[in-house]
Amino acid sequence: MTDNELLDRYLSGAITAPQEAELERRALSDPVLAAALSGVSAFPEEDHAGRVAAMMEGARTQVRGKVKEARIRPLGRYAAAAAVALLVVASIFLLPQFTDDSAGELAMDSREVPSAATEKGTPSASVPSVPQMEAGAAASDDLEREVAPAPIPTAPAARAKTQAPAPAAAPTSPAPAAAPPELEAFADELVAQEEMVPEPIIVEPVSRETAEAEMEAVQGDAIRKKITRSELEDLPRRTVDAVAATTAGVSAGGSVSKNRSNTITGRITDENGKPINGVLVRLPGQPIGERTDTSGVFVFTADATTSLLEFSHPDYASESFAVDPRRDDIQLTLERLEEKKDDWKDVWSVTTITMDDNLPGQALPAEGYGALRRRIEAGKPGNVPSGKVKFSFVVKPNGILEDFIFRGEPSQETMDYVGETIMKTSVWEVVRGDEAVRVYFKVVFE
Amino acid sequence: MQSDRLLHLSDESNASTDPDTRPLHHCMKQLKDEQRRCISLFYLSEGESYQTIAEQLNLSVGRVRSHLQNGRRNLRQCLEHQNDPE
Repeated sequence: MTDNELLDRYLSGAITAPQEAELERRALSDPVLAAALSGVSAFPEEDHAGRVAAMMEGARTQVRGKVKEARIRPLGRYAAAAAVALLVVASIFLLPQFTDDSAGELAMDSREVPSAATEKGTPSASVPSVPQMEAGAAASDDLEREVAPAPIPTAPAARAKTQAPAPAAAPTSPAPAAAPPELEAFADELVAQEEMVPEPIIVEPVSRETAEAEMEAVQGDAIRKKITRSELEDLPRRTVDAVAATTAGVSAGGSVSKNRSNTITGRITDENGKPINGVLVRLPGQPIGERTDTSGVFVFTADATTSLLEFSHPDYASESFAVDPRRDDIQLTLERLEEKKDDWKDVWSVTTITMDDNLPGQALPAEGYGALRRRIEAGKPGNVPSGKVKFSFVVKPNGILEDFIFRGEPSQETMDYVGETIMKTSVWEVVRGDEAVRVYFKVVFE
Repeated sequence: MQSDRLLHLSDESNASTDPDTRPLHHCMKQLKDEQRRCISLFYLSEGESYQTIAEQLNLSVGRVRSHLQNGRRNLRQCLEHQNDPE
């Protein structure tokens, strides 16, 4: 008999002992067969034959289905992949148009550098921009790095180069005076293009201060004014930062103007306007930061990514505050926590624990415990064995007795006698409390 | 494998009146009823298959398989224990 025949029989169970022995003998030298056998023996109760049949049937139907789908699917997948790739590429190229004018500035700088290159003989923008980009990115938020920093500088750089011939000839040095007209022209173009492009994909709000801090590092006050007037302010900042970082790297290193410094100053007071000393001002998640002085004033050095500051003090409720770098000064009031502590103390001292509610109720028989006990013990019929009988029952406020529970295992006669005697011949009353009372009773039969 | 060994044993016991049958009988008695029945039907009768045993005992084939496996295991343990002192 062939292996397969034996195996079939084995799976279906129509195998006899000698056949099974033969199968096992063969499995000793055939690992595949051994594996098949081991599967069955591991789960003897399973309907293996049934499962195999179901599997085969499923495979058959699948194969039929796959033939039809096989032609459609690849196309669908490729189309989807192509669409996504197209979107990504499009966004990469179109995105910088929506970024702030700092993009324009980058373009400006890129433009200026090549133009400067033509005049000064320095290398082109894209080469230094990339390594500078790395340095700039390292200083900034980690997130900025993820925002395809490589494509962005090249894209605006590319665009810058195409734009270069359009605006007026670049000045010899990156003077602020020269920048504004070009920037305006560029800004106008960006505005024109703005309507064409849909919502950019990469969106993450970063504080204005971040972008503009970078920007001023490069440009002077004049540019800043242009930026503030630009209609592109609400666009995503991440790309701005990436771009700005590049800008920072590319430029010769501008000065930080007074209004756009990286420091935030503020004054913390309580509800009455009194300054709070020693309020901790920090970035969320940081353990250290700045503290206010006795006049409640603090000076916090914020980096490019600051958007939220935490203010905390042991005596006051903590606050988080979104910082807007346009305003140097933050005036914040903290709510005092002291009153709350006092409230707690008051409550603690005033509360009294009333024990009365927890006192258990009590029920008494009209004749008294002792008398009832003696009566039960005396009236014991002959079929009740001697010994202790412990039991309990519930006395309801209306005097009804119920729920007899006997402890140990008294005989049925005992339980009957005791239960009936109490229920029918004794009168109980709940003397304390309003609820049903469980009474625990013991009689001893001689 | 188990069945080989048991067949071997039962052949021996049938072939000669060795006292070797005693451990087997003893161990068979130690088995649970279902296991013993399955084993004696399968190994000690002619031409019984899982299916026939299942029909006879009104069990599923899986159960019969299970009883046989467990029974074999128990027999083996019992017999080994029997053989150890010797």
